[in-house]
Amino acid sequence: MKKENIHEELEQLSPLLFELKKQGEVMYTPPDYFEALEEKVYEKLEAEGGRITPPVSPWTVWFSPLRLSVAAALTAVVVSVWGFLQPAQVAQAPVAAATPFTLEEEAPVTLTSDVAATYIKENILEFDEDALLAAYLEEDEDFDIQPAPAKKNAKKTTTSTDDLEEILDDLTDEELEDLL
Amino acid sequence: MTAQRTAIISDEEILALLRGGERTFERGFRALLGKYQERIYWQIRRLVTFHEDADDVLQNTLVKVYRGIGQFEGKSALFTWLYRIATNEAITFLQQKARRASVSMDDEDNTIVSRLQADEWFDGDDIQARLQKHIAQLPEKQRIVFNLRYFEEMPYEEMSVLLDTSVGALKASFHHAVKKIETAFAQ
Repeated sequence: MKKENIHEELEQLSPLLFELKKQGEVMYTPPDYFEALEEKVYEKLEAEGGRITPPVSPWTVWFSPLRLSVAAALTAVVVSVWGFLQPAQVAQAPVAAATPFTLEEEAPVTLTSDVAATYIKENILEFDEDALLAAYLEEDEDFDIQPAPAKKNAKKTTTSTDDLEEILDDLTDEELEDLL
Repeated sequence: MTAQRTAIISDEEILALLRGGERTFERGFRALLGKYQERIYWQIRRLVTFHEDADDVLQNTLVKVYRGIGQFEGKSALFTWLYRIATNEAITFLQQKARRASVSMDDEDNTIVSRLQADEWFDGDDIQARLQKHIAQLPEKQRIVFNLRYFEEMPYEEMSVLLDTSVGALKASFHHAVKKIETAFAQ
């Protein structure tokens, strides 16, 4: 909602009042009136029964907006910390269920390759890719993971010497002359 | 406390001092005076017209504030609470003055004009003095709305919160007041 300017409003409503307002303030206060006011108020208070500090309602002290805000902020912090701790405890449970070992048990010092391979296969996403690759290249005898066999229809990209000799043996004299 | 310091002190700080017990109450009251005394004075002065009357009403208001701050629960803004006390005190003053004066309305109006023209704290011409007279003739609510809009240039939205009245009603009230004053000038 556009805030209507008083001057624009007066100009439309009353040219007379618009002109009078342009003359500015015509009421004044005595010099230093406000500086002396505090003392006059205290004199009046003394005259009317003294400057007794008014009783403050304990309700307004303990349940003041500031105290309530601080209490709400502290509560939010405590709840956030508690909530932060909760997911870490829950996340451990699925991993423990999937593996053949419990969290309390120590993993065996030696593993058979079959058990290790099964474990890796079932939890492949838990492992670091680089660590897996490093383990494969190290040729650890406990982890005898064979590379995947070559696919049947895989295209050969290089030709050996033996292959060449076989091809040449199959060619006729005429085909050889064409090649040369 | 310097004027500059009180200008930046928040209402929350003032209330915290006022509610802090005997140790900090006086500091809180001084801070409240520094921040609001001038604004409250002018709200009163616009209603009662003369400085001496405004001074009496303002002191009564501040004494009430001093003694009643313990009942302030913070449901409204601090200035809103102060303004309502000041307005009630000013209205009560005018009602008591009218009963004491026991003069006719015409005589009272002419008294305002003549008093203003003789008042050392009024620097307006005859037309400005007549404006004050016509404002004094307005119904109570219209007078309050007119003063807030014309002299304080308060936006209607802020006035709506202060007076707990809709913006539309306030605009209508101000427009009626302006028309009445124009008509009074024309007579």
